[in-house]
Amino acid sequence: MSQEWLNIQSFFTDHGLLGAINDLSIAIKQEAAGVHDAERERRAKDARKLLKRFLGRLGEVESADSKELLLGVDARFQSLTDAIASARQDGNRYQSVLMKGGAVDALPLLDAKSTESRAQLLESLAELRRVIEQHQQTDAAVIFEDR
Amino acid sequence: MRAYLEESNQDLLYQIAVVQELLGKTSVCGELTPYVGQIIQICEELRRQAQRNLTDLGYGLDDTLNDILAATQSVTNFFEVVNTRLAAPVVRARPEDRLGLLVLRFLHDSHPKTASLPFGLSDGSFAIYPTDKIPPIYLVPTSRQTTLLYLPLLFHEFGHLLYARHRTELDELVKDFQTVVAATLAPKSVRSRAGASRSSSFRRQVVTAWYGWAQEFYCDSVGMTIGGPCFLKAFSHFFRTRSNDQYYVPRDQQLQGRHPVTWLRIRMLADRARKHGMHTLADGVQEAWAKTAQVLGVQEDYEGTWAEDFFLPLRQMLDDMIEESQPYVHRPEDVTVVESATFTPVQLCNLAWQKFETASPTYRSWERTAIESFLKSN
Repeated sequence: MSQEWLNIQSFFTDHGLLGAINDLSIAIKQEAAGVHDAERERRAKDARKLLKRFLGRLGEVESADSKELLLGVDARFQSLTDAIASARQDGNRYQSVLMKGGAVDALPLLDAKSTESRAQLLESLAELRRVIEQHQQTDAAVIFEDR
Repeated sequence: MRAYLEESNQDLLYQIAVVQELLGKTSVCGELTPYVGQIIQICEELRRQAQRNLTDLGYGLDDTLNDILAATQSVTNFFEVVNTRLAAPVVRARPEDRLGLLVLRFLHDSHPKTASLPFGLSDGSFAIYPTDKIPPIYLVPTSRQTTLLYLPLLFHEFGHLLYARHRTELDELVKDFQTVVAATLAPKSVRSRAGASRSSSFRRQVVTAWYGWAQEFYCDSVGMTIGGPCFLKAFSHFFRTRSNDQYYVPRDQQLQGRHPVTWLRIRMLADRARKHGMHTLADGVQEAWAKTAQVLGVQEDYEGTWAEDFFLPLRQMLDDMIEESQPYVHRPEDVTVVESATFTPVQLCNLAWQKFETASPTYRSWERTAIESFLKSN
């Protein structure tokens, strides 16, 4: 019996997150440039909802004692949170609010309106995207090549 | 960059159109029709996303190029899944698929949370892609698709879908079990900092591994609940003489793998079988595995990932998961099957194992006739 099911689920979880990051990032930049696009606005709303859920969950993981065990999550989600934790230790390559202050600091940025906050959000989204893209590659390698 | 992205998205649109055309042209049996409809819909969503990327490029904003590149990669990856996995059950469809599709139809119809879900069947090692983003695809090795003995392994795969449909409740039950694992593996005393760190890391890995393993034990229990004897026999025969690593797996490999060691799964399956009153069968299966292990020279050893203290909580967790997710429960008439004109898939598989065990030389010809008759009556 194949072990692919977990990689498939993880692949699509990452796909959803990446879609939300892309949608929100594009919408913020278009709005700043004065582009009005109803579909983009709708997508940005959905993206904020999904990212709030994700960052909320990530915040819980980050606030847990490092010795505490993470229960009810699969190995792939745990590896994603581990990858984000590693990125947070790598101050040379990751310098956004999300990576410096964690999910708790990044969450309020999702609804912030000021130019500075928007810029901080965009930087956080871009860095989160880099980590998730790398994580998704592991699943993609299993799904597409391990046969 | 803008030109590259335009080119990539135009190519995506073209490739998606090719798949859409192929799907539209293919003629499939009725059981597969809803699946085709859903794949066509997914293609349409991908087409819209590629079109969306072109629209965004049209606004001419340079600072969005990295985002549009990421969006293009994302739609390309998803399309790759469609192209290499999702389209296969339709494009490769053949009349012989009907046997497997009818078994799957029975399974999906047996539960309110799966009855309306389209599904596909394709070639591969026994597997399922259980996610709410795509319709479930069941993979079955070629010869097993057109014969009866190992079709019950699909009951296990169906378990993964049931888990996905009851994830919130079942995850809670798994969490409770993980707490037991964590408590059992907690060191009673710590002699050195290095030792404590190694032990803590091992404990963390085992507890995480049990999240996936618990789901496998659950799926085995679903298989047993649905099929009864035919599932246990199919499972045991499929793995018993396959390889030494069904009996023993080094610790690191266990922790990286998604499945618990098969010998341990056999032990839990035998326990489930006894719960259903199949004591003789359970004893026989366990004895067969013990004898094979003896010939292989393998001792039962899970290298610290299993403790006897897990047994009762694991059994309780599986009982609770089955109660929560309510799979079809095999009935006496599914097990003690009398020859008749119409069978359910569960009856047919149980009858097949009875025939295989009692009249092996004539089994193949019986099986051919039984399958023909089953297909005609459905």
